[in-house]
Amino acid sequence: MGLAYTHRTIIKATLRADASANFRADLDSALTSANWSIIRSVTNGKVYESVAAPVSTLKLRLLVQDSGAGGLINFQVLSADETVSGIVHTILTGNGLVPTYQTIVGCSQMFLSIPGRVTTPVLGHQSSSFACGVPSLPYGTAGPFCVAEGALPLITDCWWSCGPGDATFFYAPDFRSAPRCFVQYCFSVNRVVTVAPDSVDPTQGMLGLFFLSPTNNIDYSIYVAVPIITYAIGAPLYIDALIGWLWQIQGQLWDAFQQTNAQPLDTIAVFQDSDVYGRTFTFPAQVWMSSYYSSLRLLTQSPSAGGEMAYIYGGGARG
Amino acid sequence: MITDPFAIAFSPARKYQQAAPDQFSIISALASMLPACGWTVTALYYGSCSIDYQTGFPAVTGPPIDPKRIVGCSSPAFVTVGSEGFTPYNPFTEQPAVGAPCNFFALDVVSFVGLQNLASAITAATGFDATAVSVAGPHLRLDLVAKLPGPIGNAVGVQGDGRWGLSTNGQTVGGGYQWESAAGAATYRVAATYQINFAASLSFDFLINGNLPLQNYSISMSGNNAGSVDRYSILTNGYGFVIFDGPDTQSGYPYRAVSLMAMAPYRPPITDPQIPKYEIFDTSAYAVFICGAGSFRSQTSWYGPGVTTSLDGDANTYANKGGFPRILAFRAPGPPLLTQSGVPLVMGAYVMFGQGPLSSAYVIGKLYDCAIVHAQVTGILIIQGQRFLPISSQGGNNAGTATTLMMCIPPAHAGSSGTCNFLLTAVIRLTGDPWTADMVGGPITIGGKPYVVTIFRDDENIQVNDDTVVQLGLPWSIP
Repeated sequence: MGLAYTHRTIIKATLRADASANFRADLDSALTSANWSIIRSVTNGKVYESVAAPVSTLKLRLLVQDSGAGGLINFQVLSADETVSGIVHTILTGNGLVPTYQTIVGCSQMFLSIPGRVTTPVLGHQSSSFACGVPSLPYGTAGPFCVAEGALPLITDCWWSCGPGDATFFYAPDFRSAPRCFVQYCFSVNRVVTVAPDSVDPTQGMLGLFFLSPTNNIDYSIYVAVPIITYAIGAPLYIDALIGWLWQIQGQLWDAFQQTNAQPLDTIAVFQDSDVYGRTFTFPAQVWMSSYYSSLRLLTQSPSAGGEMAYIYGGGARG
Repeated sequence: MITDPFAIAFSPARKYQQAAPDQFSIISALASMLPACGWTVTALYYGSCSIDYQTGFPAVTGPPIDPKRIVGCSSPAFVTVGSEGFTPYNPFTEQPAVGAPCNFFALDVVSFVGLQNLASAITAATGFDATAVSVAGPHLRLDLVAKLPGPIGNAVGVQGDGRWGLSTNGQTVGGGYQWESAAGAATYRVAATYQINFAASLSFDFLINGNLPLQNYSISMSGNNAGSVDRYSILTNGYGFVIFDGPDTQSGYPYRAVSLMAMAPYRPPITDPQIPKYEIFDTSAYAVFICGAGSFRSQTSWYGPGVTTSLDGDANTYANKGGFPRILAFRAPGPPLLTQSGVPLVMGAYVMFGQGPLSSAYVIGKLYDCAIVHAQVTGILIIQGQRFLPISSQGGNNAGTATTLMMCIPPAHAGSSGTCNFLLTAVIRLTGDPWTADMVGGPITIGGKPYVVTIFRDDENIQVNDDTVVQLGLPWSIP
């Protein structure tokens, strides 16, 4: 495959966390700057709607609302017609220990976390990050390296969300800390919402980014893990941010890719790509998640050039 | 392109055939397949055998006595080589019977000369060059070496009379070849020669990075300790080969010695258009690995016994740790990993391994002609219009990732040709080899245009992916 560029506005912003209102105001600015629309206001919150990415009609809605319980902000994804909804994720504000959050918002997805940290410094709380989005679907753009078999299903609704939850002592990994989400996640396909089982078994088909690994049981407690880097050079492989659940690839994150080893968290580097016409372009990308087998890089700006349409896919083949 | 499309790295040539489970057939198959894929023959081995005359060789004395006595063939023969028997006679008193069904040789007053006469008779009548050798005192020896290299000089029965001479093996052994893999990846050598052993195994002697692996590799020919050995499947390209028959384990036979894989991975250069510019591989690394019996067929991560790697160093053999070879896949423990279209994900096969049991493992490159399918697959799959055969696989039980390593094989009936009538949905064979069902999904060229076979009806009626053509007497061929 290749990167799924939206070529739409990407906003990287800092959110004040000193008070719920400031946090919500800064987030509102980030979302609307990324052209999310405000559907309506609710008590101490709003319902937003994402923008359909090019060559897509899919959207999600996002409820952001102060829970009324000690600075906890609720995040809940709704289908675009609001007939179904996901689980409620929380972000903690106003505690004095987390001065700011950071967010990267694109037209079809948003990521939110504490800068420079994976988990919260707040003892007895886990509400430190949240992410949601509509994945990029293949739309029949199969390339020469695909096994172009099977039929693409008709998708009228598809979204996901994850966060570590607000349990006292149990941290549920999400896309800020790991390519696989545990417990506190949900996803929807055609308005059928699946909520994470209360389990931490990797064989459950959890929401995740598909990362490269050896084929044996790398989750076995005594398995000696090795990073996926090239011999003598130490370079990681660069792979698409394929996202899926229940043992099926559902799509890929927009404006994102993975490297197959741990990169320094939150560092930004500039990368160069080219489109199918051979035109090169550059973009910065931030390490949003750094783990042993996978580092997720999110574009913090859309590419410098390369056309207005989304389906340039980096010149690589889709498969 | 910034992310890896996981393209399959195809090599210039591939071969596939099945062979009977005997040493002659396997060596013969490799002898035809490997050079056709770019391997070079680096050594010729000739089948040989000796007859030892430890207490001496018979001699005769004169004077001549006429008329000489007519003698026939001795039974048993003084020496037997294959179907040829050799009978001595005393040239002073005896004369061979004309038309006797054996070969005669003259004894001599000097034992060594008599042995030389025997050697000459054998050389003249068989496929072996025989040489008389004086060992020490009366101790003589007759050495037989096949005139032609390879397996043809093997397993030929050689017997002495049991009184004067004893055959060292009872048959000729050692015939075969050594080959060197093609340039384009790390080169290594492997020899296959006929040997006599309890399990009738065929041994493979590797020379990797100039040294021998600690592990000896062989596959069973007889079924001894291997259950029923039907026919070996042999797949080759310029950089490796795979031989197997069924699984490594069968009921009652948990340690079948029926599989062997050796491969030098493709190390992508920066000029490879299917490699992102940020992925950098060491293109000068010496990297070869071998997976032997019991380690290979039921896994795609090879930490079992009989695994050897060489990575810029000597060959090392493994236990269950360190830099053992492993194929990369998208982590999906349990059921097969499907694409959005509901079919298993397929991609090129990256391999990683290390220097030894105490080392880490690294991504070396891709296995030529190999694809990793995220499901357990049996039978041939068509991938990118090419036929792929499963060579090892594992399920998703035990929290592994369900995967099958598949290797590309040539199209069915590759190289065959003939003429046909193209009649819309039916292509009717007029001349050429009969068509078979395994052509479906594979290529066929008709009238100079490439098509894909979509339906097999019988050995002279197929359908291809174009049902608009009506033309008679077109040439067809399979590339």
